[in-house]
Amino acid sequence: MQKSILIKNLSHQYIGTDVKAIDNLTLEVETGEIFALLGPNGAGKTTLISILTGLIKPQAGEVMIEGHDLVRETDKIQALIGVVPQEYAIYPKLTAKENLQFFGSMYGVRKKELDQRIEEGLKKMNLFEFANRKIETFSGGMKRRINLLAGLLHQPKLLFLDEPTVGVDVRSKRMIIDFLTELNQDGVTIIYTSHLLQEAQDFCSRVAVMDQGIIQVEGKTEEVLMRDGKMRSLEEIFLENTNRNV
Amino acid sequence: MYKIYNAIVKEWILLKRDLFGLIIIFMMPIILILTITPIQYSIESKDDQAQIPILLINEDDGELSKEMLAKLETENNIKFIDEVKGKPFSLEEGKKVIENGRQKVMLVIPEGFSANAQNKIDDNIARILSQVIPGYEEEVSTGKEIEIGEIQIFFDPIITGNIKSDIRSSIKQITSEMETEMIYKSFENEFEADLSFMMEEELVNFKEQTLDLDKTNLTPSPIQHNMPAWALFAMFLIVVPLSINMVKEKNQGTYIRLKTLPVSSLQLIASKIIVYLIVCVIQFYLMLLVSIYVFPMMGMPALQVSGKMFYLFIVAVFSGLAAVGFGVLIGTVAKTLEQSAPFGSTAVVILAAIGGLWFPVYAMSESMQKVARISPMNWGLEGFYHVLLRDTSFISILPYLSLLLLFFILNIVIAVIYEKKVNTQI
Repeated sequence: MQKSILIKNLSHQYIGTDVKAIDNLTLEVETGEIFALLGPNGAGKTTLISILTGLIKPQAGEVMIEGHDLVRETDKIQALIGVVPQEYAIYPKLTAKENLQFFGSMYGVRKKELDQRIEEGLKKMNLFEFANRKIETFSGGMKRRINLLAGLLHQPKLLFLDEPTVGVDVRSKRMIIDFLTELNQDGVTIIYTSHLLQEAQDFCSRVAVMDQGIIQVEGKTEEVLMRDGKMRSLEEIFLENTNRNV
Repeated sequence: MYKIYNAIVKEWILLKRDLFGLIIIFMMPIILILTITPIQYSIESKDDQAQIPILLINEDDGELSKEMLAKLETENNIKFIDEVKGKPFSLEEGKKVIENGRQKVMLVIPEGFSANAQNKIDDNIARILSQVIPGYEEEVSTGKEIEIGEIQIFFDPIITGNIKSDIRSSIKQITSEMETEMIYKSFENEFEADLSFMMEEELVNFKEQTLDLDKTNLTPSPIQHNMPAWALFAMFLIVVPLSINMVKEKNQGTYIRLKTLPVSSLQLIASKIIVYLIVCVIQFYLMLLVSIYVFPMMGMPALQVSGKMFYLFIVAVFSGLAAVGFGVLIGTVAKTLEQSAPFGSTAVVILAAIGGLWFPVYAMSESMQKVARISPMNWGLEGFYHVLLRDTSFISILPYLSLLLLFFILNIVIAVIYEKKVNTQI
């Protein structure tokens, strides 16, 4: 199986701290997987995602994404990946369409193609009629869906999702999960972080539980759940390996 | 270019939708120039010269004091008040009025001033003549000193040294002119000769000229100062909305997405530079239009820009670049709005003050003049002065353009390095 992400001995320590946020981490994610990166606050998930998306430069270790070296070929990698941050990474004063046109064009998608993809995306997310309304007038669920679309217009091979369904109503959540499942079926690898463990259990093909900058447990979802020969919930596995409350 | 174009479109839309920001950017400088220029113009204009009324106690009934006061009124634009609350007043009452601050200056001419002055001059002339004409001794009147008496001037303590000195020198000038005239007249009487030619001609003449290289007879005026000064202030004030825009972006999720886009920091910064530079140029032209078309409606002369428009545009563009570069640097380094907005506005006010926007650099102390030269606003102002008042050539403004460009490049280089090194190492 081809590797979408290959991490070897990755370490990172923030300036002014004496604890490593990422501590000699090694991890592989195969193409076409939906990979859940779970862990309590401060476990190192955000640091890991920030490194993988080019936000932070790694201090030690080696990272290959879609066959490209992260340090030397950041631009190439950034053109291949989509990032959907937990915060609404869209401009409130711009309309939905203007936001999508801007972010799509930053990925180099030409206007005609971009307009077509925006129209399709908005229709799939049931937002087509709101295309020309400013984001500041949108509900939380609508903003989440636009936030997701903004990271997908260039049809990335690898998608990073940080809490994509947090704070949204059931209908919006269903719509987002269905949309992501469809994307995955089209071959997009998804890296997903969440505190919603049941959602991760249902949605992801592989999971990793991280704490103190180290991967504590990692494997195919069903293997992790059956780790000790008996079926347990992901929440139990999580609590056992992080020794903290969710 | 496709990415930069779309980033420019985004920035432009965001700017258009920030109504309050637009009001600050475009309306505030217009309000400032329309308020301050007429005030400065009225102070500097001879016709509307501000008058400090002077309380007058004239105890002399001679012609000399009357003539002196008339000259002070007509030639020095001084207004005398000889009544308080509709009544003549005594010396003590006058002093109280000054002490209370209700009037600022009082002039007291002593009794017999005119007669004593005339007698003194006649006496002096007789003495001179007795030295050169034999047998003239008997004509020397008294042989003892004649006291004219002092003209007293009382000032309110709040009156500054400059105003005191102006009033003193006005009075001194008039009295010495009249003294000379009286001396000539006394000689005329003694010799029964016509010496009027000596009174009509001044020995030393002054010809005042303001050097103007392109011979268009332009002299610095409040209009020629205020247009570039307030245009520069407005342009540099762009630092505030620009840095706020950048800090807001940084504190929103959009920054994370922007940082993960296959776009360089420089490309994103370039879009901001272009949009805000366009804003600066629009600001400049608004100020220019006000100076050309609105000032005459307010009774002031229009700014003369004939044949200078191209060079004015060039200086405006380079000044705008310096302003935008400074804004980008503040926006990059600042982490919160509380850091960017107060620092940006304070820095602009300081640079404006030391740069000579509000007070002319030539009137500053030598050390402050050196300080002024480090302000980019001073470079812009000098560039505009060169175009408006001096030589309109590219070479003459090149030093200022170079400094402004260097300032811009320096700011952007620091911002880009900071963005790469500091903001990605967290």
